[in-house]
Formats: sequence, C-alpha cells, structure tokens
Amino acid sequence: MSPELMEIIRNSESRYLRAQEKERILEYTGSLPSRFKAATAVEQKEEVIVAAVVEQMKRRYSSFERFHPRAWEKASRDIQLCLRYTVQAMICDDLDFQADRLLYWLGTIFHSFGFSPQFNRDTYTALKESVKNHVPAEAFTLLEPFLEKNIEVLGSMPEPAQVLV
Amino acid sequence: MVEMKMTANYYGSRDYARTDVKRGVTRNRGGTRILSLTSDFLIGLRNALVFECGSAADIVMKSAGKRWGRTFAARMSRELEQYYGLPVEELPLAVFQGCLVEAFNVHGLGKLTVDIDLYTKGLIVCIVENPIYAGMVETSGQPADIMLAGILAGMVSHFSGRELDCFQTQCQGLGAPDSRFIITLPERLGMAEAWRNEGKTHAEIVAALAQTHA
Repeated sequence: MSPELMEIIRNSESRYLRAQEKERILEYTGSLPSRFKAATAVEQKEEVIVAAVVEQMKRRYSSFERFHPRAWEKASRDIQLCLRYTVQAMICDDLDFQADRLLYWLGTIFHSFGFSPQFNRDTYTALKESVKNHVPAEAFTLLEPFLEKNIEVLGSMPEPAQVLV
Repeated sequence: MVEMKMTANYYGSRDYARTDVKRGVTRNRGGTRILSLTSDFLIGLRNALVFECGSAADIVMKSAGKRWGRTFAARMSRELEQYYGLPVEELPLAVFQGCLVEAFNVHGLGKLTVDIDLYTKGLIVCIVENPIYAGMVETSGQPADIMLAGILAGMVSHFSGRELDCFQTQCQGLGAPDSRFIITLPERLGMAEAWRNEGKTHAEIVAALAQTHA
C-alpha cells in the first residue's frame, strides 16, 4: 500500500477524513489502472529489457565473466529481480519499497563480489534506458523515479577493497 | 530467460515481524516469537548486573551474548535454509554476508559491516555503527559493547563450527565513528586488552594480531 495513504490513515485517527485526504486517496486509486498497465508492459517485455542490458554490459565490461562463474547468467537474474521489485514499488507508489526489501541486501552482496559502484551505476542506468526503449512513454514516466532509485542505492555502495569489475 | 531461483532479502524489513494484537504475540516471518527491548530495559539489565556482579558483570554479559549469539545463529540457519532452499553452508559467502548484515539491521543490533580481507590470516573484522550499548551507558573509558562482542563471537563460532572469540578494539560510545571488533581464536587475543589499554588503535591491534600465528 502507498506510504502516503498509510500516513493519511494514521493521521486521521479518531476523526473523519478531510476532503483533501479523500481526494488524495482517490487520486492514487484512480492511478492504479495506469500503474497496472505499466506493470503489464514491463512484464510482457521483461526478457528483451533484461537481455538488452546484459548485451550492453557485456560490451562495456568484457572481463566480468573471467572473475565470476556464470557471471552474466547471474547478472540477468539480479537485473530481472530488481526490475520486478521496481514494478512492485511503482504499483505501491513507494520509493523505499525496493530499497528496503532488496537493494541494501543486494548491494552488500555486490560489494562482497567486488562490484564497483560504477559498475552498478552503469548496469542500472542501462536498465533504466532499456525500460525506456521498450515500454510506452506513459509507462516509463511512472517507472522512472523507481528505476532512478536502483541507480541511487546501488551506485552509492562503498567501493570494495578489491574491485573486480 | 535463465531459470534460477529468485529469492531476495529474507529480512526485507516491513514484513519481517508481524504482531497478532489479539494474542499479544509478535512473530517473525519464520514463526519465531520476538519482542522489542527498550533502552530502559537494556540499561536496567546492565546496571543490575554491575550492581550484583561488580567487575564480573562484563564476563556475565559477554557470556550471555555468546549463548544468545549461538542460538540466534542456529535459528538464522534454519530460517535461511527454509527460505533459500539450501543449507547455510552452501549459500555463496556473499549472500550469507548480506543476510548477516540484514539480520543485524532488522533486529536493531546496529549497522554491521563484515570485513573478511584478513580471513586467510584467521581474522574477521566487524564494524558496527549505532551498536546497542554505545551512547547509552557510562563505562569509565572502557568500550561498552561487551555483550555485542559476545553475540558476534557466538554467531561466528556457530557458523564456523569452531570456538572463536571476539574483542572490541574501539567504541562509538568513546568518540570513535563506529565500534570495531575482531574475531579470531581465543588464544590469539591474549594480548589484545593490554594493547588497547596502552592506547593502540584498532588498525594497530589488527596489524599486531595479523603477525601472530593463525
């Protein structure tokens, strides 16, 4: 559920909702059909979206596979997972959703594997670009802040002691 | 698309703990009953131990931490195995490390960073920001997180299958930016307290320990 809605409900304890609060709830619920449409657009194109990111990253970081077994396979899985959380966050209209549930944890793992913040930034910037190229503009507009969140969190992880990629 | 098991952060914060208000019971997603302890309780516990045990209070707290750390680690192993479908020892080290960090975060034990750069020398360094006791209690210039040192020792002993000990080298409560701990075999820590009392820094203690035999 949208954190803004939760906040409205929390703040309206022991009283009736104000007109402005009702309006905000209706605005959010009214946005759900377009949010679902955006989610479906990503779901239908997930494979090509992820494949395009991996192709781009393979060109930029050709040595990646030397350092990590099944590197690109696992990268595909991670990008796919991130994309699914991004879509869920967009549906909930909750910018902390994927960070709390996935990104900090994933960032620690990437750090242990020696992924540089720059590598993460490039990967998730490529994801944003790939989504932009494969879904309608209105869907991308809804998704963009959440795709940015991936870049912000994973791109600002500390530099590993030994950078492998 | 490659079919690989899609799992994420078991400790993903918002749905990790749920309270059944009707029954007055909070459980984590693995079904284990949990409860929150306030800083009043923690300070009271520590003060009571100091009052009852005097200078032995630190030993009691470390021992309690160790026992709890072991059971916490055993539960963590069971829950992670159920979630990830693999015994903890078969999880990639990075995934395990990520889970350990998140377990600390979600239980409010502090923000943990595990540094395994000196693992081949038999040393693990743990850095904890906002640990439980630092800033809460007055310790006459001594590090305050003795219970946390016990917890870390207990947890790592459980996961490694060897009896290990943990020593606090610096404390956020004494003005350092974070609390730091070193985990290794108990016999290697014999000089650590003397070094700390001489005023050696965390880095100096780690360097001195790295010279000792693993």
